[in-house]
Amino acid sequence: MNFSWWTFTLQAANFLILVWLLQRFLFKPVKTIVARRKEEISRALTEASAEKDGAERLKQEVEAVRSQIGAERRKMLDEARAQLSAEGQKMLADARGEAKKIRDQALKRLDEERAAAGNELFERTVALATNLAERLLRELAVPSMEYPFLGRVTDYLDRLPADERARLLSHVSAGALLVTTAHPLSVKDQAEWREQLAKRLGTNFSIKFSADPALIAGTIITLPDAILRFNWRDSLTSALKEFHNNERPR
Amino acid sequence: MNQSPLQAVVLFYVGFVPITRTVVTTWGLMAALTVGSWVATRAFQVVAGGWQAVIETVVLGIEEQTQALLGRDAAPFLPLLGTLFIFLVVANLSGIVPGLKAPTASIETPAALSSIVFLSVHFYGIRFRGVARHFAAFLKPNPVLLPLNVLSEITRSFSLAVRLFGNIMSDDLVLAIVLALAGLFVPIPFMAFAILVGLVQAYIFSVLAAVYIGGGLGAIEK
Repeated sequence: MNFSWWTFTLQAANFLILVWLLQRFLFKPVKTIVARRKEEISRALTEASAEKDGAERLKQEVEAVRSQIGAERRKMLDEARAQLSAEGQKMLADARGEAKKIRDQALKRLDEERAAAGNELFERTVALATNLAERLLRELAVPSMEYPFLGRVTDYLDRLPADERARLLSHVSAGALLVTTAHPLSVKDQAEWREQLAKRLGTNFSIKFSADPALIAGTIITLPDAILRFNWRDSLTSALKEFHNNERPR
Repeated sequence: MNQSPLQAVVLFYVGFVPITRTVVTTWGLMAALTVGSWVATRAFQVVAGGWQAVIETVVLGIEEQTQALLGRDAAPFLPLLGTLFIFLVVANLSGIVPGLKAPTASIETPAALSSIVFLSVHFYGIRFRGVARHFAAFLKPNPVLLPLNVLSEITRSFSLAVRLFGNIMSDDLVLAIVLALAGLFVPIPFMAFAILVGLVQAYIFSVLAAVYIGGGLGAIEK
């Protein structure tokens, strides 16, 4: 067994050359590709992380928008409910107002109708009463009933204040005096009427007599500037006016 | 076959330098490894394919193993230790190829490799720890032990070379004898055994080299 120093040296050199060759063609490419892969994985992880962050951000934005939409929806619903409620209240109030108005109008119309019916009833009652009174008075009104009215005329003239009587007489002296009675007066009655009137009014005027059955009983003395009414027709008319003025149903 | 199997066969001379069959075989293996590496790695993709995955697994496995042994970043040591393991695997297994003799079956190759390991221990030790601190380690635990420590450095490199040489040479020799004596299929178990021995010896040599370098760095107690 010989030991070849040349072989030893060459093998050592060969090995060192092989170290360089494998470093150049094996280890370095492997390390490079592994480093590149790690870098790409790291970059992919970074990108994935960035995308994840972006997705998270988007998710948060979407959540925010969703919650905002939800809040707006709730707000709109609340507003719509409030508006509906207000409109409902307003419609209810309007309906109540309208119903009250209709009811008031109906009540008013009812009152008016009732008043009209009452008026009509009153008018009819008054007319009936007037007719009844007129019929009764006509049954009572006999020609002799004219005399008491002469008493009422003379009593009126007697109690007339002096200035009133003077003013009445100033006109009477200028013309004629017309005495209208319900029944025609007899000559005797006319003389009695003329005598009593002359005592109160004087004699410088003429007295004419006429008859009007519409007076029922009593007289109308027509002066130039005045009319004295003492008859049941005018009493009924006055009573009717008083009824209308005072007794009309309210 | 009158020539001793331990005798280096000179194939030719370059000037006055004899080129033995061991050197030529080594050149062939170097060329195969270099071309194979170049062909395999030139088409590397970020997404590894079948062969790329195997190559990456081997290289990264060596790096991880080295890192585990040294307890530090293995990048500065990967070219030496990785090349050592790959070359030893290929060189040891080349003996089972008919017509080839494993370069590690010649004493010069293990001697050259163990010498390189020996020098590397001191190279990396001085580089990473400094001259004084590196050589001060030979005075520990007691300066009296300096001669023994120096002797240990030499003998362990010697044993590293002899272990590899003895195993691979004897394996080749046994395989050659069996091939000469027995028929066609009898050597197959021996060849499988030779593969196992070749892989184990490559592993042992590389691991011991890493341990020695780690000891030089102070990472591993001597």
